[in-house]
Amino acid sequence: MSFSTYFTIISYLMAGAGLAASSLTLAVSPLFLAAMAALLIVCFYLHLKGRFLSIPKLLWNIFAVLLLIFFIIDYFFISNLLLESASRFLTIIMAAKLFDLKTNRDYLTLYILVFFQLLAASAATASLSFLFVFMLYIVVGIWALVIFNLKKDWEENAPQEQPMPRSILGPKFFMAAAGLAVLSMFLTAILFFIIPRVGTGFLQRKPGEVIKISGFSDRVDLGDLGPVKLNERVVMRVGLPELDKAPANSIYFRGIAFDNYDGTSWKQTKRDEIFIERNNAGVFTFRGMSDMGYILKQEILLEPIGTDVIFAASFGAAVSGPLPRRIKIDNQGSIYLPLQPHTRIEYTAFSVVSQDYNEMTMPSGSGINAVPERLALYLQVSEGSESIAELAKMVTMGIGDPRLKAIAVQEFLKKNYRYTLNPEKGEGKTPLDDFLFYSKEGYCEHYSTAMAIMLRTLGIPTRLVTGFLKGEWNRFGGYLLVRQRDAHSWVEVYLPVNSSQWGWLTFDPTPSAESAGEVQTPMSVSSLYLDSIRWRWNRYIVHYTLMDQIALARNIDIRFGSVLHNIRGVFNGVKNFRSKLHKTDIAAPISLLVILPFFLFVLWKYFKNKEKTRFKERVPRFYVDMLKLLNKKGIRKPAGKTPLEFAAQLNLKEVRDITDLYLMIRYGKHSICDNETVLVKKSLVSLRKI
Amino acid sequence: MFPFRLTLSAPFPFLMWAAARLAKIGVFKTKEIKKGHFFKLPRKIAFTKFGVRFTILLLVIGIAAINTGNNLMYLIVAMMMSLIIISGVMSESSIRGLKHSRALPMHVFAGMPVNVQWTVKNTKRHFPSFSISLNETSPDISELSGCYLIKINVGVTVEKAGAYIFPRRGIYKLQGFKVSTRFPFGLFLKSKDVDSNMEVLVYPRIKPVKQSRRHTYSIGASADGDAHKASGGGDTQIYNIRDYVTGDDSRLIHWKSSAKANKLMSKEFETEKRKGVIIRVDNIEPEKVYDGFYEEFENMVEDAAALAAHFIKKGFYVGIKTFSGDVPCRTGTMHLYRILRLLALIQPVKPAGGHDAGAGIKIIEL
Repeated sequence: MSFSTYFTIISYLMAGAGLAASSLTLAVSPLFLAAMAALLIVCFYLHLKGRFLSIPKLLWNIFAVLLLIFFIIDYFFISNLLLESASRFLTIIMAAKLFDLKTNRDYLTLYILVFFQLLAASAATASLSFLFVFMLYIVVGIWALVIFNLKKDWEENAPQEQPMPRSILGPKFFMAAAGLAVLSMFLTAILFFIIPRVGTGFLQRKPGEVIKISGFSDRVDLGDLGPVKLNERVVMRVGLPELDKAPANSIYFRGIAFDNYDGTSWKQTKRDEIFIERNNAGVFTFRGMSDMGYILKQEILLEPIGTDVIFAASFGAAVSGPLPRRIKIDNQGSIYLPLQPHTRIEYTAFSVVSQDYNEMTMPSGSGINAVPERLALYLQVSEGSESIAELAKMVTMGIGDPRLKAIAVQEFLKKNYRYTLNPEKGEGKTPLDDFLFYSKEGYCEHYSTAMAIMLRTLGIPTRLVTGFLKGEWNRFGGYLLVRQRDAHSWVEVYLPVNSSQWGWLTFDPTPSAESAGEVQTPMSVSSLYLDSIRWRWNRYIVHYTLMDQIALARNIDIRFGSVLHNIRGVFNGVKNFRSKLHKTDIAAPISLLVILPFFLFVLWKYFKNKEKTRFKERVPRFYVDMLKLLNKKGIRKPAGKTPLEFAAQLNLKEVRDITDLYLMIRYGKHSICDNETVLVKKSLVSLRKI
Repeated sequence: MFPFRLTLSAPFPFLMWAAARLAKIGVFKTKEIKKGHFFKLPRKIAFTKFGVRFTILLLVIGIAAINTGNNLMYLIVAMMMSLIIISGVMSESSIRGLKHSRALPMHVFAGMPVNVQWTVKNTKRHFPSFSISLNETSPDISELSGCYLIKINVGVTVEKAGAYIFPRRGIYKLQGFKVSTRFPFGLFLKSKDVDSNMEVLVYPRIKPVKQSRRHTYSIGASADGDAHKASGGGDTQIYNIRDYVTGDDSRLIHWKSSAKANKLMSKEFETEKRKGVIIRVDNIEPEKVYDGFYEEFENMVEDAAALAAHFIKKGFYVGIKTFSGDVPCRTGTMHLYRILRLLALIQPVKPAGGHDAGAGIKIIEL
């Protein structure tokens, strides 16, 4: 393969990398990309065959201007999105440039366009695909730059029209270029983690696609969660750093709590929000870390799901991470961001996971009469709930303990109703009536609504909560993969938790999907592995922050701290020895003994090298030494006399010998040998004696 | 006590570096210290045009990354920085471990392209060198073509020819040359200066013989003409037997004498003795140096060189007399070079006793 063919292939690979980068900008249509790819292939074929479409310069300039005008129209009137318009513009320019690859400048322009396509992709997407395109760009880019530079240097320095030697580009060259690419990736990774992260600015990444999920707004209609539970799309990834395997108990990721039921939908009637600011440690703390349970730390990567709610395991106590300066919390314990996010967000949540209510000992004498007035809204029931009240009384007949009543209602619902995502419509006036008395089937919303209303009719404060339950454990990444199908609703019941405290306890009347016969298909191993890579990509690259850098630095410090400590110990030992030494009389002699041999060695080495090079120089110094010697004796060589004439004039054998040797070295290609060195030395010694 | 204590307190790596520098540059011989040589950096790095633009782009994208907090932009910035680091390492690898030398021909003429033979050997064990340029650093000479080597494999010696032009006659002190490369990405030009002192004696230009306005010379009718036929015999008689000089006709060698003397001896005929000229060059500096004197002086020297070449080519015995020295009559190419050596170094002088400044060149027929 000739050099020019090779260079063409590399350049078109670069163009391909640019096209791949453009494809990451989601708003650029696949049809457009396919057209550009076809154009690229056609150009490549024509280029290889040596058939060029020669575009006159004027035509090219006119085209470029028209394209620029189109870009402006595209941005201001069509897409209104700078990145998409710019990406299209760059791609078209790049494709057009492929028709005009003649000079080195043209090739360089092509490489620069590809670079800007990659830059546009970095601003437009956070997808894992960017990593692959980036790595492809590094490999191809390094090859292209090296070859381009060699070509340019050759053309500047080599004789005209002489082709580049083919032997330059052997298999070893490719391997070396690949090695450089690997080295570059390695250095890139190190530098990426080292470069300090500071603040954010006004040109944020373009908002990602928002997943609209029902059930997490101010109002949720009964039946909203059903369609959601059919969707496999990932909503969040929850890392549990303190656990190295799937949690034993299901984790309820709490979203929003609702207090008012009007017969068909749940609402938040009064959302008293308070703003929370970070404490000195940078953490938003809104609940005491009491001894009601254990603290569960979660590292959550939440996709934009069209809500400002922050999810955390029940019950969230604190939140930290790259969040706005203030967050909100309402009177029902739901946590909100100031604004709905349009990109993935990452944060760390600390939750107090309650003790299992089955294990709690009920304090004696506590009863419903102890409910505070502020919780009266959690006793609200809609009109026509009399039948539900009767059912609740029947279920809890003979039970006085409110907690046991709650358990009884929960078990009743679990055992007597069928779980299905497609409940049949019965004759009931409301969906809840349908569920309880007619169809007797439904899903989590029905179960939790039923339990909430039944307990309210018994005078037990209860509220409905929506969120996510459990998720799928990804063993490759060590995190829970929570999808839309994991959306769930349950109830929180206000009950005494110990002798002096009342609190909200989580109850879930919905039977598990497995026990209901609904088997959820787990992800394949390859999908889990890919998702773990995606998670790591988001966690450690896309959302890498200053806090992560500090944590990394601390880790390194801890790991290497022991090594440094040992090294410091050695130096301290030396220091102590030194101080002892200085107090004695033997400090100076010891210092002398240490330093003197070192300097003597340096001196010896210097003179040895000097002696060696002196007689091997192209311009022999010994001839100059001879002239100086003679000069001292009053014999000066006239400028007009040649060395041989001068030697003939003096008629001294030593001068003649030195002169002959001098001329042979200086004007011939003679290298002085050892014998001649000895001869010269002897001659100089003799001359000194004259 | 104090100096020892100071030494012990100094960081050891600095001591090692300082000792190495001292050993290398020969600080113990003060006369040989070049000014600033102790602090001279071993490498020079200069941005290329592309490198400047690359760096500016890096800074702009870096600022954009900091401003937006976009980690993927940080990734691109990190990649660009890695290319700069790799560029530094690979360019160093390319110019390191090279043994280089240059050789000029024995006889060099002013104003004529001179072939320079570059020899470069890659002494590294593992890595070839790419895109190496060698350029003379001496300001006095013009480089018609430098030496460019696209690749030097491991252990391989490459020879390449370049061309210099020495503008004037005289002694040129070549100080050294520069080895540079833009490998691998063309971001920087990394170079190192190699000290390679060389003295070159440049003969005056030899141009066709002509008569000049200011310098008059006459040629005897018998002195000019066809080259004599040194037949070594016939109707000429042997005048002398002398040492053989390189360039003498080999048919003139007297073998019997050569055997006796154990060195080559050459016959001298009477006819050869007659065909001789002495070129007298009056290299006198006038009392008042007028404008254009030195230019005329150079022209005179070139004329003298041209005449010497002309006559020697025709087989004449040629000698030269100047106020700075003489060259006795001989013939042959080597003798011409002797004459040219004198002419290369000749300068205007003010002879004692005064002289007619307008003498110029005179040809004296023998």
